[in-house]
Amino acid sequence: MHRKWLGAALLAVLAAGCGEGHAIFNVDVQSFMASTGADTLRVPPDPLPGILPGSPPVRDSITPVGVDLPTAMSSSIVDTVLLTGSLDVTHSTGSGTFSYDVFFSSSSDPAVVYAGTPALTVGPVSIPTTAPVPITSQNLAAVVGDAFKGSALYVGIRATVSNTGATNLQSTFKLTALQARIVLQDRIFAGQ
Amino acid sequence: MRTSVVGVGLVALAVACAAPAAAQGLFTDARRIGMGGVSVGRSGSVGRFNPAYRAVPARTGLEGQPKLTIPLPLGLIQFFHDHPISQLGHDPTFSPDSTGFNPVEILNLALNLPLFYEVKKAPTPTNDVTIGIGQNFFQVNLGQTAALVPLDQFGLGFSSRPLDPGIDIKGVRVSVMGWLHTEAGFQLGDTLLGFLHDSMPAQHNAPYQVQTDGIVEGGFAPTIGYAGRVWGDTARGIYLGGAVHYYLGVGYAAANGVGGFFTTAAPFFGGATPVTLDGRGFSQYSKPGHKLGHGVGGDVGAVWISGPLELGVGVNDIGATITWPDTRQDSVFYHDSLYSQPFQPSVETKTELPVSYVANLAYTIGTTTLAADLVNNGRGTTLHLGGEKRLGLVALRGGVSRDQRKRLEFGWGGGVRLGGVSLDLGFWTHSNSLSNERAITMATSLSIY
Repeated sequence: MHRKWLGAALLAVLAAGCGEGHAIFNVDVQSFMASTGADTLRVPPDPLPGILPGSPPVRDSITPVGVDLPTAMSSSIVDTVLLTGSLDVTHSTGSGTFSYDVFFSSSSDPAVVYAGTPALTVGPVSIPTTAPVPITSQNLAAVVGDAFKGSALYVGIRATVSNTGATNLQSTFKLTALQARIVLQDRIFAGQ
Repeated sequence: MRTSVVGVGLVALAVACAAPAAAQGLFTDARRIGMGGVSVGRSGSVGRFNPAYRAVPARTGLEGQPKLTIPLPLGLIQFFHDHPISQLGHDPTFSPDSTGFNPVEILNLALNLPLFYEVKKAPTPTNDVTIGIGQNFFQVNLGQTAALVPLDQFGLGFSSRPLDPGIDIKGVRVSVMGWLHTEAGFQLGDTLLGFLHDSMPAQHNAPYQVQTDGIVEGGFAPTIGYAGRVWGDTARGIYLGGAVHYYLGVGYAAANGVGGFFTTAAPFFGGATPVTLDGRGFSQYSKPGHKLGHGVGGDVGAVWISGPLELGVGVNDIGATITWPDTRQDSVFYHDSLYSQPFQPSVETKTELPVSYVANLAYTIGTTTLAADLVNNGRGTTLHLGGEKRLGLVALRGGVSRDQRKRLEFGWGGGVRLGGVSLDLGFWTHSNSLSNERAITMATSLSIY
């Protein structure tokens, strides 16, 4: 109920401001993940030892995290979805490569979230990295636009690590920033 | 849900543009519009607010006042051309499902009725709005529209006399006047103002509220008045007028309070209860059927005519305090649900009608008339200055006014008179829109002399 009122207030604001303009949402996705620790992914997870040399790639993922979005977006036409962010790869031992997949879904079910095509894949990138790994995307509206139209959006992160070195490899992937810029055509009143 | 959400938005916007709407009024006479809204002779505001004008004879000849003015509503033709009646149900302008739907445009339409042709429409705000969302972050940047968020108290109100039937005998007039007084005021709280106007991020445990107050009251008033020339003749004389009203109040309601949201410590997004609705108010009313309110007040006015010069002053509703003997008072409180606590079931209260006044000056020399008037109808003052130059059958007009938004508006136009009929055209800039830019209206009317 109270969240509906916040949504209603937001709609009023949009009504006042937009006219025929665009509504641009800058969503700090990482902030929703940090509070539950879902911004950090250790591969392989503790207490497992590192990936042995010559082992097949190891893949792990987080439990999808919900991102609350205003209902104002529900009936809008999503023009643009752009992702930007940064990833720290720390506590690495050994060497190898990793791929980092970002998923968006309107479902909270991990099986559904990870069954789809990643919205964005970072990598493969060599380990160890010398600097934070940037995350950038092209316009993803055609791929994940519909997911952003629901009142709840779920984010999944999946990392795949290959050990190409001679010693065990364990890596920690900490998402330090993930911003979604969503540009809507103004149809905020439809379907409310 | 859609209705309520649209309603919230539209009400907020209607409130925001109430002041400009009230500032201008709706004129239907292209002559007056062409002179910047100034009242000349017995027309418009001077006759309404100055009781002495009842005794002042109308001018005759080319400079005389028309018996009847009929607006030619070219604006309606334009409107129904753009929005055919048969397709109104699917018109993108009015369909929330359409990308062309713009509530600001609809409000501008309501505030500036399309009676006359809009030569230049006020631009509808179409800038982008940026909303920043994080689990503990919420910020809105309204872009250029933020400039329209009112910093001070804003509102609307008027005091009117819809009907005044009566009889005149030798300057004495006995009548029964209907009266109506409404006012509504709003003031955004500091945190809400900062959020909307200055794009400040939302804070936890903070109020986002609006202070409101409003009153509506009405009734009728048996009235006895007098207007007559006390000195001189028709060319040079002084006229005085006055009226005493015994106001009988049929009903009134007044309320004031504070309402809005309180943010909590919970995350703005993803938290269970990011905001709580909160409101406190005090209401009092005397419904129709209760004991009538009563009070006494009066109007006075004077007009001095000296050849081409005419000066008038009128004041209305002097001392008009209405006593309501049977008023119910309630305190209202909302927090999760609505509570209403009777405060006084029946108590005597008093209200005051705002004093309205007009001062006008007109000077006619040869074929030129210059005029000015200052009107305060209880909610801000408007000033009009204008003139007319007649060149044979043709009249040229111009004027300027200062509206309640304290903005200068300009009028210009002309007319052609053929015998007892004139066709007039007037242009007027106005600010009756949710915009800081002026629009220009072209008014057309037919006057019969």
